[in-house]
Amino acid sequence: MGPLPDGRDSPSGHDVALIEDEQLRQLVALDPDGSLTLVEQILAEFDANLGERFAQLATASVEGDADALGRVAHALRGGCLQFGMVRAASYCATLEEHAKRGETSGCGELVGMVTSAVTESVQLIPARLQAIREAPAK
Amino acid sequence: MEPGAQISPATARDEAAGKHLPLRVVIAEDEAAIATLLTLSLESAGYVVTSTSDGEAALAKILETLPDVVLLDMMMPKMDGTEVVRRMKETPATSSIAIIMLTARSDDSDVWDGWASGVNYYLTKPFDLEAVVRCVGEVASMSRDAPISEEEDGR
Repeated sequence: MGPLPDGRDSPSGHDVALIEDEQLRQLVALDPDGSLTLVEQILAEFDANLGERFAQLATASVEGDADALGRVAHALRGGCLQFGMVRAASYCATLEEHAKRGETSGCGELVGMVTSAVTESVQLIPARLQAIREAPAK
Repeated sequence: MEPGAQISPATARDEAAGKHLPLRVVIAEDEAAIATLLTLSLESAGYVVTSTSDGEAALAKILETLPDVVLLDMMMPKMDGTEVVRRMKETPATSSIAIIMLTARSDDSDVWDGWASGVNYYLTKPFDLEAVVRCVGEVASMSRDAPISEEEDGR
């Protein structure tokens, strides 16, 4: 689990892998012709909404809006999980826990970690998809 | 699902109570990329899919089209999945439509709340796409086999 705003129980989020390939494999399978056309389209769709999600998280954190913080973190976590972005998903889960308890002070740093982890994952996924596509079948 | 594998349309339809009419599915999911992922998977299996991005739009589309199966995200803008289920259950025309709840939640109490409200099946993100397709066929089969009440018969 990620860090808490008040500094309690703050193990490194790097304990969790950035990306897990298992979810990416089923995305690769969406394109039976061996291209990555559909998966690239879907990831572009995910990417297109990220700016708005990040802005919503930042605003909710600054304004101390626990409901909005929890709702957006939850929505983002679902997408991250489905696309194998497990570290970002774990940060989102931590944000949700804080929001559920009404704790928003100090969440700004965690919002930054979510943003960085998602951004880094989105940048790395195309190469991972390519590697999975080119890997010999087991 | 293995790379290159495709879900057979015939298999999906045959699993739906042996009927050969394409099953109609309404998806309610506010993450557009996940909605697209589900739509592509279900359409490749022969389902007719309508996608919506919030609870109010989903309920309107459900009432308009009376689909065989509804895939509902738990947390959505405007109206959450639990409220959509409640309204479907209190409306005779939609009360027997099969419902699969999609969620990233992991809290057991949320799962129990979903079952208690009349959800037929619960899938937790990240979901396996093949399992979603199979699940849609199975709950539709159960729904179609269920006896139809006089109130619902006007569907």
